[in-house]
Amino acid sequence: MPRFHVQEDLLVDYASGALPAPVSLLVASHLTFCPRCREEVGEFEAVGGLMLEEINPIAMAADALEQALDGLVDDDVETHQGSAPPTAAKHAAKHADSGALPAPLVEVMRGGMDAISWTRRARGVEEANLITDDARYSASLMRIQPGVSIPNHTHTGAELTLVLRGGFSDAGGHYGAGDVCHADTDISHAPTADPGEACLCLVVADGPVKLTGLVGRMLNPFLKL
Amino acid sequence: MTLEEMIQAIARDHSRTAFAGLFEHFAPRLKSYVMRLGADERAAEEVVQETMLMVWRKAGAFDPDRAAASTWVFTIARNKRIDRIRREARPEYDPNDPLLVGTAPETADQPLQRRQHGDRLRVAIATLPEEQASLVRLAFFDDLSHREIATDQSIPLGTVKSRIRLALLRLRRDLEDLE
Repeated sequence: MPRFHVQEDLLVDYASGALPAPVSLLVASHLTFCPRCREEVGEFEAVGGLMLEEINPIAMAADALEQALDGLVDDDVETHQGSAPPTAAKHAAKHADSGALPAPLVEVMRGGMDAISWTRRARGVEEANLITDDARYSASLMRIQPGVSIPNHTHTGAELTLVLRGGFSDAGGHYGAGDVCHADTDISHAPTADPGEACLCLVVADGPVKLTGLVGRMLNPFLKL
Repeated sequence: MTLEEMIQAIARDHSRTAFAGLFEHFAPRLKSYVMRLGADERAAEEVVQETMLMVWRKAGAFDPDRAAASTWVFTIARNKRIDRIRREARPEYDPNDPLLVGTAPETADQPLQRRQHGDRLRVAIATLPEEQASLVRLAFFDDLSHREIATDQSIPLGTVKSRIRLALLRLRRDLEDLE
């Protein structure tokens, strides 16, 4: 089980549905690793369920129920047993080329790991954009070769890093698969990837990738290398 | 028949009567929820129809030991609404993901406790101080993230976080006290 978790306010926003896609992707991926946070999200969703019970209803159009009933097909009702194997099989197939990544991430990557195009950021450090069309946040994959150290740097915006494979250490401790590292503007850190295996991370940064080029790269911690 | 039993009746018997019962109960609430989040009436009715169709299709995946009917329907509507706004499906962890790190097996009385929680949570929410209750409502019904609530209400982000946190802690404590 992960030792470093997603902040509670992000779990609440995930449950209410208010998180932008890149942050939502990181939270959903962390949840794959973390039964404790899944339990918490479940509690917050129960609050959402209660709010739904207490809201003032607004009448539907007169023929709405009739229309809904017309659309029902008996065979569409999935049995619990019936739906599980295809989903699992689908993931097994996808995982074959993406090397076991959380399902929400596999969903975003489409072509799998092979289709990812990496950009070199520094020696032993590569990055690949995943979500670039959000107004505020961007999501990317980052791969750090074993033992590579990223020089001390600060951040121009908040940044969340989820370890997917391998691990790294900084002053805050050691981060392994499923752990989330929060970096803020006032935090200076120098992460070092574990020896042995390349460290693969999902990085969500506060700042649009649209502004890229050199200016946008200010948001990338590695610009300061 | 409870709402939970109606969902189970769809899974078991493809019961249209049960579906109609769920529709009568949930559709007007869902419509209100989606409209409150900014959809116009027509769009809201469409989200409701899509949500109820998912209730029909996914009824077999509903587990009354894990969530109340209202919680389950809420999560479906939340996702349908987001899918409509974004081109991409909302990122969701997949309970069938081979990578999923499991939870410890439940003890026999945990499901019952969870159901009792639902009733108590209702009472607890009704007794929250208004400043906390209104922020929880903003979070769930106005689609505002903590950060946006802070801007909207002109309250510092730290204060929003701590008030919602207090509200949720209080809800949890009330539940534990009642056990």
